[in-house]
Amino acid sequence: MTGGMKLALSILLTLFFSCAALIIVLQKEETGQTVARTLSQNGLKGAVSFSGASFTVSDKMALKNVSLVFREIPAFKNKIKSFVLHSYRKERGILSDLSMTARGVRFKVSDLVRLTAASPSDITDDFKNFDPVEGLISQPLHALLLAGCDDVDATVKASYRYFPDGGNMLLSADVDDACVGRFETEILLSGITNEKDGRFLAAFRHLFLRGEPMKDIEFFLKGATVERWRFSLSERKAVTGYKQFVDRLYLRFPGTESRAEITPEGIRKIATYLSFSNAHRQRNFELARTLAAFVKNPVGISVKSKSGKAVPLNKLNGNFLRRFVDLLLRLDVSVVNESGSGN
Amino acid sequence: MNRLFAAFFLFFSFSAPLAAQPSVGAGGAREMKRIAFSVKDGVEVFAESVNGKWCENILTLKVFAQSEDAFSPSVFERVMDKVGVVLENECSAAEQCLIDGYSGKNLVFQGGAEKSERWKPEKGALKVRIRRIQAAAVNQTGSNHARVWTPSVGKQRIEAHIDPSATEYRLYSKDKACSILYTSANPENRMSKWSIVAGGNSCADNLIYGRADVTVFDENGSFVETLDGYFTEGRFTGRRNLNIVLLNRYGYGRNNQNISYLIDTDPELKISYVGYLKAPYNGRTKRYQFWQGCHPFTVAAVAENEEVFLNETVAQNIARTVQSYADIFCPSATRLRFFATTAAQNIAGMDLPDDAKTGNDEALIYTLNMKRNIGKKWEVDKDDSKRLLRMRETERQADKLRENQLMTADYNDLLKSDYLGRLAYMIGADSIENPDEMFWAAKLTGEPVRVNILARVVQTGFSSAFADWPERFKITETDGVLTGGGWYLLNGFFRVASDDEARRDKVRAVLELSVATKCEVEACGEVSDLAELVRRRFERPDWHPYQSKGETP
Repeated sequence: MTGGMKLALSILLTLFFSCAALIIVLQKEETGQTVARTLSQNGLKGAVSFSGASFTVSDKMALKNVSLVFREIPAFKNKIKSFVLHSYRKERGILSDLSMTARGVRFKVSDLVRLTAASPSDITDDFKNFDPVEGLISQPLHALLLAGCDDVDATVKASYRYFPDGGNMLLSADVDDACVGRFETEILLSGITNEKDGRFLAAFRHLFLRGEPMKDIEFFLKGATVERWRFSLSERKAVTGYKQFVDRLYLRFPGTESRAEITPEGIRKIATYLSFSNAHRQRNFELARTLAAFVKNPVGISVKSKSGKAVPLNKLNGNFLRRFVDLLLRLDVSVVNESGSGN
Repeated sequence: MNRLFAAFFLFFSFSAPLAAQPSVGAGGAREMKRIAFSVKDGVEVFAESVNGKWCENILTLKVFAQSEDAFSPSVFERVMDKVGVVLENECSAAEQCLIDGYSGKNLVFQGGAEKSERWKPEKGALKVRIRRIQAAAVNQTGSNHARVWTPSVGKQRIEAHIDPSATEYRLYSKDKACSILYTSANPENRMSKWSIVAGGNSCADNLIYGRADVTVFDENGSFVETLDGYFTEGRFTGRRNLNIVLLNRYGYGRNNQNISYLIDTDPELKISYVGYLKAPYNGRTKRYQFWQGCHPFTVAAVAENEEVFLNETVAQNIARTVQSYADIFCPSATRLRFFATTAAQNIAGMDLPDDAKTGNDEALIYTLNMKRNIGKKWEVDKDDSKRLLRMRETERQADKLRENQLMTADYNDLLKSDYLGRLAYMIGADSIENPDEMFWAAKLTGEPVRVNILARVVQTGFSSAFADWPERFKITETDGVLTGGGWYLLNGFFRVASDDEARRDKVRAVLELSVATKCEVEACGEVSDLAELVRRRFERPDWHPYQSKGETP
């Protein structure tokens, strides 16, 4: 997993759960004043700031104008207009239920790219050598910029449920951004011990304090099994913008074929790539065709695993993309292109 | 007489700068001593002196005359006769002299004279130059007799030394005052007991120079032979006073004993001209004859880089030069063997027998054999310069092959490359950049980025223009670079537009133009002709891929 991917994953997870994590460490607070005091006691005084806290009848807590300071990139400017904690429950001292909504999550992707680059010449080289296919995986932040999505202004809804007795965890997220589009996902994991659950929550804390969040995440995922997974993407500007970038990159002239589209040759290549994970060639072709159809007319796409399929993550091998494909095919996913036919 | 002294005065007026320069091989003050004059011929003769000492083995004379006629052969020979008498009485050590002759302030004569030739003046700047270098060598080496002197010609260095392969022994007189270097096939334990008796030579430097009469005795005191003639650095050269600067003394077995000597150097071409002497072995007498190098006169032009011989004019000049050397060193020579080489030793026919199979063939570039009748011009007898032609042709073919390989490699690379790669090749750039990527690079680094971009220019102004494809951006500093609208490959610095530019020109980026290459057809579609791309790069309009005759791919 590349540095860019780790960073992107960190940011994504942060969007989902960062504010929830704050609440975890602020379990017993009742007022804005005590929230601030608890932040200070947990060493997060400089990491989180907000303009006010309140309590409603239906929700546990609401914070206004929150901004976060990340340990690795302290100069990263971000703002969350409002954060609402809908539910929060513990069983036998272990957090078992949490749901939240963050509205007006705003930051610039370009700030992240600039602040995480080793040197200015690295920035130039990264863009000069950007590969439009591999870059989607290895440099997602660069890809977002090139797609025209610099300003993020998103609403993030997230929920967390943990069942200590069964060792199961259910995570869901709903991110709706004006440029990227709407991304919804829900995943059910099994084999999650209390220790793993603790490391999962510690990962968020380590985004602000000394520690290694990615090691926490790796520990959390090690030995876990994916029981169910669905995700969907509704396009707004990102896919279309990225296709335009690819057309400009390859000097597409009017009336000529776009290299941003997945051609029959491209479909064959994707099907062949999928075949290394699953020999069901007919289904692989259908998956590739559905993906090509989405790229051609990007409206929405959804992926859903088949019930009864469970995939231990430690069974997956290869690079990130290969593991990802392995996981999807072992879960026997169905892919639906919302603008047309699906599998 | 007044005019004569006026000329004399004039000499000092322009010789002052000369005196300020250090003399070759000596750092002392230079003065002039008048040693002779002729009122009848209107001539005065001065000898150059260093630290008050003017009498040397090789003198430098300045001759001032009222008229250039004084340097005509008949008059000047008479003057030099008088000089010879003076030298006989006042400087018996003098063997040679270098002569600069002036009429008024003009140098009208350069040449030299030798005691052995009864001081008969010989004209020729080349001869003077050779003697100067020899004189410099003698002065530099002092009493080491050229063993440690290394003439430097570029990186090429010819070490002057006596090689262990030389079957040469030093034979001393009984009083150890004199010695010679004697070549013999006898073992060292015998030769160490041999001795000489020398007559007619001062032996001032222990080794005998010049004219001498030396008798050699063996270990039993028995007479071996008499060496009556000239010696150069202790080596017997028969009736020829060679007076040369010896370099290497070496041998290839009993029958090939050699000495190389430096004739001249050409610093410009980095060539050393080296001559060769041999001492033939007489199987009947079991003794070596005197050192000889005129029949034939053998000379090598040793160059650091063989390419110097590839120029026809240079090669011809070199040939003429070696003919001059033959005239100077061996006027009676009727055969000349010239070797153009990159090594001064180990060449068949040069210092090895003609039929030697162990020579350094790699070093030999070509040979030239010439012959003449006495007093006639040199004629080519056997021209091996075809070897040079072969070498040239081989080199030309190798160059052509190398170029073809490069072109074919380029062509094959282009076959695999995409449109962007071909555009980059067309302008000799590494890559063609994308404006989106370069915009973000410039924005995030805060610095302009050097780019090559294919763009369609649609609107040109006095010093700025706009591109509308692949995206709209402004182009500045176009004056004299862009000639109008159309497709271009643009090179320059890409930067983020200022707020003013963004508002006024509705652009996000600006290209500060450096170079523009106009496309011949839309979007530089000419790059689809790969062979033509390669031809243009190498300026080879006749080239075809895969060497197929007249067939285009």
